[in-house]
Amino acid sequence: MTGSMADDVCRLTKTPAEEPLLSVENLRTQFFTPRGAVTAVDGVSFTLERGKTLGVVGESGSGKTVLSRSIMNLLPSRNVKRTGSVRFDDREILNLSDSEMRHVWGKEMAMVFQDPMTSLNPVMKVGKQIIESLRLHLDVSKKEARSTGVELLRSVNIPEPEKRFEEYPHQLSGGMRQRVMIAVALACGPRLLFADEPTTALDVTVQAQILNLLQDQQIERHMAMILVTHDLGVVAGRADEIAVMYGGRLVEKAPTATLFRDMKHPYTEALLQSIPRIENPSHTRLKVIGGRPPDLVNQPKGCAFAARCPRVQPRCLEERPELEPSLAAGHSFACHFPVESAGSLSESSN
Amino acid sequence: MAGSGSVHLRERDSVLRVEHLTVEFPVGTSGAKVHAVSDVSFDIMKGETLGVVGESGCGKSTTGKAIMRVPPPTKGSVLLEGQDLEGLSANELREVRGRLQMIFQDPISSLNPRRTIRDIVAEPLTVQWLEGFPRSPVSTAWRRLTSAMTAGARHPIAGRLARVGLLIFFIGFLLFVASTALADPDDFGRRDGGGGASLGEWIMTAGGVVLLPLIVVGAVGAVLWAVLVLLMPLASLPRTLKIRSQQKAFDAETETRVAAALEEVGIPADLSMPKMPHEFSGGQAQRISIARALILEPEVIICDEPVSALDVSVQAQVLNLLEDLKAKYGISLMFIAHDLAVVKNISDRVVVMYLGKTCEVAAPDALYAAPRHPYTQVLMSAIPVPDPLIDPRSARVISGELPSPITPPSGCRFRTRCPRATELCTRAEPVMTLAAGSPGESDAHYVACHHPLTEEDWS
Ligand SMILES: Nc1ncnc2c1ncn2[C@@H]1O[C@H](COP(=O)(O)OP(=O)(O)OP(=O)(O)O)[C@@H](O)[C@H]1O
Ligand SMILES: Nc1ncnc2c1ncn2[C@@H]1O[C@H](COP(=O)(O)OP(=O)(O)OP(=O)(O)O)[C@@H](O)[C@H]1O
Ligand code: SF4
Ligand SMILES: [Mg+2]
Ligand SMILES: [Mg+2]
Repeated sequence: MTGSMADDVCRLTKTPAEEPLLSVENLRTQFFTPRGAVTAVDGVSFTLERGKTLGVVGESGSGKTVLSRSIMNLLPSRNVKRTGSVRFDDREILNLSDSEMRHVWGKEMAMVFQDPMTSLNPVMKVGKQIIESLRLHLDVSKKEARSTGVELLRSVNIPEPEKRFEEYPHQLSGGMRQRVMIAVALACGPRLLFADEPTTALDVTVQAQILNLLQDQQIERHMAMILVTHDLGVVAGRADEIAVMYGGRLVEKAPTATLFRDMKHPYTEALLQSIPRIENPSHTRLKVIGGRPPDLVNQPKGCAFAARCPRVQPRCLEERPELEPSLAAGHSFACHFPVESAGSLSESSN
Repeated sequence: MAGSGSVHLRERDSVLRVEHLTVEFPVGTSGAKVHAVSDVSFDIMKGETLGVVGESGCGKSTTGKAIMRVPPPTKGSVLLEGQDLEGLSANELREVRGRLQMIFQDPISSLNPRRTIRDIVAEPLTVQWLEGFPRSPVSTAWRRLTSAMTAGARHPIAGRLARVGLLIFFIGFLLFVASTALADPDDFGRRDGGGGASLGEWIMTAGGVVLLPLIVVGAVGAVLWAVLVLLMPLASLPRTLKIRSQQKAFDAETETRVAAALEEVGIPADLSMPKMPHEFSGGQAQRISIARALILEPEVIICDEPVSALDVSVQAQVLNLLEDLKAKYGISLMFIAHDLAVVKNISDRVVVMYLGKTCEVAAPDALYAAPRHPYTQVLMSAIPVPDPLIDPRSARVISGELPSPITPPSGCRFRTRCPRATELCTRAEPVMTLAAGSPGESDAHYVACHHPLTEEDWS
């Protein structure tokens, strides 16, 4: 209901469904700092179909946020260099100016951030913030924006939306604030939603509610989503495809079922094994990934994971593995000595 | 779940025993209060890890802080090795704090950003060491006087007296001025207000009498305070000199102890000690706060969501580290988190909390295999499972928000969101009862629910 309404308002142009909605090619983002050039995103390529979900997984500092922001062109304006190509709806958007991007933000792509408290203005009423953001993108009167806003809050399951409109962010619980942020992001019916760790600051019960809400909205609006998280558990049942990031690069990418059935990269396996599983007896020793993430200023010559990898061989230190397709459809990984097949899933769940 | 009661407390000697703990925060002036923790009891044995799990806002942190007495509980008792923390003197409490340490959720912001790792980890040692040097009588007197004067100035009776005194004085003054002004001038142009004026004078005196003691006490206090401040540097000199003379030896010893504590948590000591907190990642910072908690060799460490802000790979490192330390030193842990899978992994016994109450107490494996409280089941199904074959949307997700802790639901506090709630749950508060196992044993399983889950619910 709300979805179709927002769609009408935003007058979405329908394009042939064949070509992907988003296609990123060899995207590289560097920050120039006193220490040197930080290569936070290094040659990332992927495509995303309409209405599908891509899960981007990796540890803290692996470049997930910078990747999302690079695609949306939401990076600081100074000392940053982006190269490569970002095609959205068959149009190159990497070199668009801020004023051109303004037509893309909100209407075409929107973002839900990790910390709902810092992304809402603490001294402005929730309703006012929603109205302002609606009026920024849509040519509507205050009154129309208000009723749309109330509808939006209702659509993200906020009880008594009229009452919430008059409240300040600190009067809402963490889960409630994140719902408001989702409502704001959905306001103009974007076709691609970036959800950057939308639930990391929330507790697990609320996390499940929010993830379900995102998925409901996605189906209702036929919206594509890039779901960023450090927890493979969050994307397992919710993403169509998963991309694993390490040190600014994609190290493995596969349809979700394929990835869990047959993960190839030792880092992906380590990420999965570090999750405590409720079905394991208590005091089950957790597998840890020792060592530290790679230095993004001086990346090692060989594989960036070599220093922490249990399967490392001399070749890994010399020669950087490229992301190459495996036998399974849509599955690629970057490793010289991949994990043997035969179900990493069954192995890790016993 | 509004569980109350304490049948689940064990008879054996516990390291930490919390009985009927209640913490309320006043809100506004209407007398309303936040019922953050209401009648919570649990105990922890030596070398045991007690997991405390529940959603945000259910009172987990407040419970941990009340044990540390920041702020002290509204009601209830906390016993550390049988010793009641209530009514301890400041000195005794300080000694107890060394045996009871706490680490917090946000690793980086809980470390002072302007101090080196060496100073941060050494801080509990330094504080304790400095306390070993008695203060000069002058500085003790000065501290007492300062706090007494602040307390006096804030005291409600003093405040009321001052207001009443001023009011009386002002009324008398008005009466005096008015009667004088209204009186007819005599031959010399003077006005005599007569009876009205003398009544006014009398009332002014009465007001003065009320105010006078306050003024005198204030003035004497101020003079005394100034004298003490002037004397203090001289009086403290012996203490300062004594500290100076032992500083070197203390520093050397501290250095080795800090280094040992850092190595213990897997932080390279030489490299890290001169660094500042922001130079470390979240996981490293959390290990540094664990090192700081360890340095006084505590008996109990209260870990308030120590891994919630960390990503899964770092979380595993910290969980394993806590397990190792517990095994090595026999430390008892109270481990607070909202993720039941995390709590289950590290705990020997788990307490499930909801809206300031305890719902269920059991060994973690039994809790998972046979949850009795409907809320436990909700917590369990909310855990994201890293298996694409399991549809997360088929899980039993709890709807709605946590009710306000200012006006908690009657009867069982979970009833507003509970699928099994009946009229009984509105009326009566469920009490902790033994659901399985034998009392006092590790298989004892307690639940506070009128309609607990049974076998058919688990299959
Ligand atoms: N403005 C900037 N200037 C310099 N370096 C930056 C800047 N923004 C990000 N970086 C660096 O880029 C790297 C990737 O950061 P990013 O925020 O994308 O990580 P992330 O995967 O989102 O991690 P997290 O899970 O902690 O959010 C980090 O090493 C970070 O220090
Ligand atoms: N100083 C305070 N004054 C008033 N209310 C408070 C205070 N501290 C906590 N509360 C309230 O007490 C309740 C319990 O809070 P507490 O922080 O203990 O929850 P928690 O279980 O630790 O939650 P979280 O998982 O979010 O840390 C909350 O409703 C909170 O708002
Ligand atoms: S290439 Fe080598 S070092 Fe890198 S992940 Fe594979 S096995 Fe490990
Ligand atoms: Mg990020
Ligand atoms: Mg807390």
